[in-house]
Amino acid sequence: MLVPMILCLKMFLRRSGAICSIITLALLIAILVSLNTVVNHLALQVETLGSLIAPTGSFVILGKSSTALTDSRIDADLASKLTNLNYFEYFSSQLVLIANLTNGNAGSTVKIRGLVDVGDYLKSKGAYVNGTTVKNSTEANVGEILARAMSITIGDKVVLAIGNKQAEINIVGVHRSQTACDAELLIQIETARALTGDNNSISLIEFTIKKDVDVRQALKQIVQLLPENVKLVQVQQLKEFAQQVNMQMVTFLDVWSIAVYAVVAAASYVIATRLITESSYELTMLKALGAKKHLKFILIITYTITVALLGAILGTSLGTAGTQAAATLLRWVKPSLDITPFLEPHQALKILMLTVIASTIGCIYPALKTTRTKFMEQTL
Amino acid sequence: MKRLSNILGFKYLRRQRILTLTIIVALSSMLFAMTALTLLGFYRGFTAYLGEGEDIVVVYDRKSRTPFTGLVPAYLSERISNLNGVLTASPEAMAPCTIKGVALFLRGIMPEEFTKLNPLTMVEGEIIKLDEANSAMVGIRAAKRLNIKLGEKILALGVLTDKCQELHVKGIFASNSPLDDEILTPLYVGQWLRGAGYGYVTLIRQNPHNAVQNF
Repeated sequence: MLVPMILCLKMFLRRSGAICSIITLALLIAILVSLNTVVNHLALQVETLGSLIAPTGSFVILGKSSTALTDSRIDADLASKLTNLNYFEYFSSQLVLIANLTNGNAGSTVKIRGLVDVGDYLKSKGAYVNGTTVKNSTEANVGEILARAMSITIGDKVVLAIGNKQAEINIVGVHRSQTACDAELLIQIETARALTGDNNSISLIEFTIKKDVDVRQALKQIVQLLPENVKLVQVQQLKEFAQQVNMQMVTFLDVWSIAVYAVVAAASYVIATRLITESSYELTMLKALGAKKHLKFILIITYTITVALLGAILGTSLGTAGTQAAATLLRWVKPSLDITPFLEPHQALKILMLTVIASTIGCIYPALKTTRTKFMEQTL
Repeated sequence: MKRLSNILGFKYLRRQRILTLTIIVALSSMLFAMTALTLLGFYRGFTAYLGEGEDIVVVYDRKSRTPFTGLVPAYLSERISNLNGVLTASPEAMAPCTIKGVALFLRGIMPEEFTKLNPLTMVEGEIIKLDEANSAMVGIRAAKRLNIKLGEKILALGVLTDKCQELHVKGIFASNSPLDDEILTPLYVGQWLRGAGYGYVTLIRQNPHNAVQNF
C-alpha cells in the first residue's frame, strides 16, 4: 500500500498546481514570520531592559482609594503592628502634605514630608546633606531644588501653614538625593501632625525587605495584617511594564496569527478541492484498480500536508531572510536604526506545526467528501 | 476573457493562470506591505521616541543596548546651544513608568527649550514650569487612555528605579505626534525616575538651522 501511495503522491506533486499551492502557502506563512521576527526584536529590547536592572524590594502601603501620596490616609496604628515583624531592612511611616511655605516675602505651595527619623530617611535615599539633619520638631531639611527655587539657605526661618495652623521652622540642612525629596521639605512627623491636627493617621508606610528573607513569604504575612482599606504597592514596576509591553505585542501577533491560519485552512480546502477536481481521472483509475476509500482519503490528506509543510518551510525562510534584508536596507538608509529581526527555532517549529494543523483542518472535508462519492458520480 | 486575451496578445494567459498569478501577486504585495509596515512602524516609533523631525538633530548614546537606557552628559546641551546657528537645545530625560497600572513613557523636559522645538497646543490648563517639580502635562491620548483629568494628582511608579513621584496634572496638550501618548514633567522628575544623576540626560535635541557643519 505504501509504494502505490508514494507513487500517487509523486504524481500529484509533479502537477503544476502543486508548485502554485506551495508558493501561495509560503507567502502566507512568510507574512506571519516577518511579523514574528520584528516583534522578537522588540521583545528582546524589553528583555534587555529587564536584565539591566535588578528590581529592588521597595514597597509602600497606601490608602486603597488614593491615587497620590498626599491624598492617602491610613491608620497610624498599622505601623506599630507591622514593626513587630522581623522582615524589614528599612521601615518608615510618613505623613505627606501640601503646605504654604513663606520665606521672607516669597511664598509658595510646597510638598512637605513628616518622618519619624529624617536622618534615617535621608540615609536610605543615599542623600548628601549640607548642614545637619533634623533633630527636633522646630527644624527642617530642605531639598536642593526647592531651596534653589525659593532661595532658602541654611539658617533661614520659614513659616509653614495649612489652613489656619502655622509653624515656624529653622532650616538646618540642604540635601541632595536625586529623588523626589529634593523638591520637598522634610520635617519630623510630630510637626506635620501639629499642622494637620490629626494624630491618628499617616499617609504611607515605606519599607524594604531584608535580603536574606523570602520576599514572597514576607509579603504574604504583611498582607494578612493589612486592613481592607489599604493597598500594598511595589515601587519598582519593571515586571509590570515588561509584561504590558509584551502583552501588547503578543495580542498583535495573536490577531495576525489567527487570521493567517484561517486563510491557510481556507487555502488548503481550495488546494484539496482543486486536486480532487483536476486529478479525478487518476483518482477514479485508482478506485478501478481496487484502491480502498481510505487510501484516497489518506492520499488527499498526505498531499495537502506535504504541500503545507513545504510551503511553511519555504515561507519561514522567505519571511526571515526577507525581513532581515529589509532591515539591512533600512539600516543603510538610517544608520542609527539598528533592527535585528530574528526567529527562534521553537517559533519556527510552532509555525510549521500550526500550519500543518490548519492545513489538515482545511482539507478534511473535501477528502471525506471524495470517499463518499460513488464510482458512477466521479467526473472524468 | 478569451477575446481580451486575443486582443492583448496573451494567448497563453488562461483564466486559471490569471487567478493563480493574481493570488501570488496579491500575497506577495501583502507580504511586502506587512514587512514594510512593521519595519517602518518600528522606525517611526523610534524616531518619535527620540523626537527627531525636520530640522531637529538628536544627540544620544548610540552604544547603549536599548534607546531607553542611553545617557549623555547634560552639559553638552549648553555647549551645543552656544554654537553658531543653533536656535535651541533641549535636554530630555526619558523614563518608562507605570501610572494607574498602565505602562507609558514620561519625558523630563526644560519646558522653555522643549516648546521651542515642539510647539504644544494646550487643550486644557497651562504649560508647566521647570521649578514646579511636582507638576506634569499629559498628552491628550494618554489622558484619554488613563482617564486623567486636569488638576488630578497621579502617582508615577518607576521602572528603572525604585522611586515614585506624585504629579499634579497642570495641563493636557495635543501635538498631533506620538508625544500625545506621553507625560511631560520638569527635567528633574525624568532624571529621578530614570535613575540618572542631574548631570545626565537621555538625549539632547536641537534645531541647528544650517549649522550642522559646526558639530
